[in-house]
Amino acid sequence: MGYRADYSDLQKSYASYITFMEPILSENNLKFTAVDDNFSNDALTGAFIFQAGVGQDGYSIVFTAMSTKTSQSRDVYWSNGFGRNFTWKETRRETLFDVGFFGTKRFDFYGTFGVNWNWTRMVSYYIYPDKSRNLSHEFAYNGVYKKYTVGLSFGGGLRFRFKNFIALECRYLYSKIGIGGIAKSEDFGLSDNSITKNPDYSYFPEDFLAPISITSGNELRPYFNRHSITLSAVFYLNLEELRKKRKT
Amino acid sequence: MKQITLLLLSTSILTGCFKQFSDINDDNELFPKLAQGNGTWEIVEVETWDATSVDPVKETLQPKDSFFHFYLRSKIVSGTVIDLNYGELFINNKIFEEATISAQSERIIFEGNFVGSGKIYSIEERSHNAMVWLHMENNKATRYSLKKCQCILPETSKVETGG
Repeated sequence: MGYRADYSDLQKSYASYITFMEPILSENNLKFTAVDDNFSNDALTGAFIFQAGVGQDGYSIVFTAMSTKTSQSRDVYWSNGFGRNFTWKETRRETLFDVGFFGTKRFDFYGTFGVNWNWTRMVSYYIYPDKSRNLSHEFAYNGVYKKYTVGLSFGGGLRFRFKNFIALECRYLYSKIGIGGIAKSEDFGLSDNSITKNPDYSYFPEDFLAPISITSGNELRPYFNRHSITLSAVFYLNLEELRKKRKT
Repeated sequence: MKQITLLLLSTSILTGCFKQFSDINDDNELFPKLAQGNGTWEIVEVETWDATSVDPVKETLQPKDSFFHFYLRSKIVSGTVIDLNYGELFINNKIFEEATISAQSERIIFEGNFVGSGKIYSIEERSHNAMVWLHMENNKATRYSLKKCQCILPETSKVETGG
């Protein structure tokens, strides 16, 4: 699967951390010695797909479950050897209904719609000069910040049954986070509610330069819409073909 | 009709495949793995060093009869029985530390009694029956190499006299 997600809020958060740290380091006669590039919007990843459905009389309906896991890690280091690591993790699952034309030849076309379920996590580590990373509560921004989101997905695809029992499928999907009801600005963001955390720092900031608290609204909300294209091989049963073989 | 029934059945089965949905974002997604079997993890090796040093000198120990034990402990709160995710650390077969546990893929927390307290172990490596944890306190790093075991829990003290 290749995808392009809109990580602009995540990128804003990372960039603001760099800006936030510059004067702090300067006050302590320190500076950045290494800063990784910002989080990337594009990536290639594997996808696990399971399908069940029927195609008959020119029409098809297929239930599709799709799961992807992705992660990105970014490090920043200061001149005294200390630093911070941000690891962004996503598990996205799609449950979709593909409704379309079951081609009499070898091509099927379909439109798809369904629901996406997303578990997102920002793990923020403190890095020591010996390169060990840890999540101890001595540092306010250490933590495992989590947020679960749900959204609607829609798109379309093409299936090419080039051989009996094996098809190739190309699917475009737009996964939008949010299903109405709660606006993004009203939703909670990434949070770490562990008892070890100072409650003032239980949310992961979207902007490190702005105040963070439960009421400030300055928390990163992972409403990261995603366009994706998936190429997959599908194994299917051709009952007509099987019946013919049985008769002969 | 037969095909539609089959489709609906498959949908139900597939939905069931996602039952772990409820676990993924839980604060204790790792606890069932920790508590598997008799819930004991032997401390095979302990390394300590000064983490502020770029090339630290490490001290290594292979402790005996030392292990972590994870289990569900039931407690009555306001007349209702609740199950707590519980962890104990045994050193030389003697209980050294015990607390309720929060266990995620990245860290294990031995929870304290008030906000801001507790002991955090960051998980560095994790496989089916082995783990490496790192605890940091005042720049002193302690790395625990753990192996799943069937460690025998020390007997509880005999408080019944029979007299």
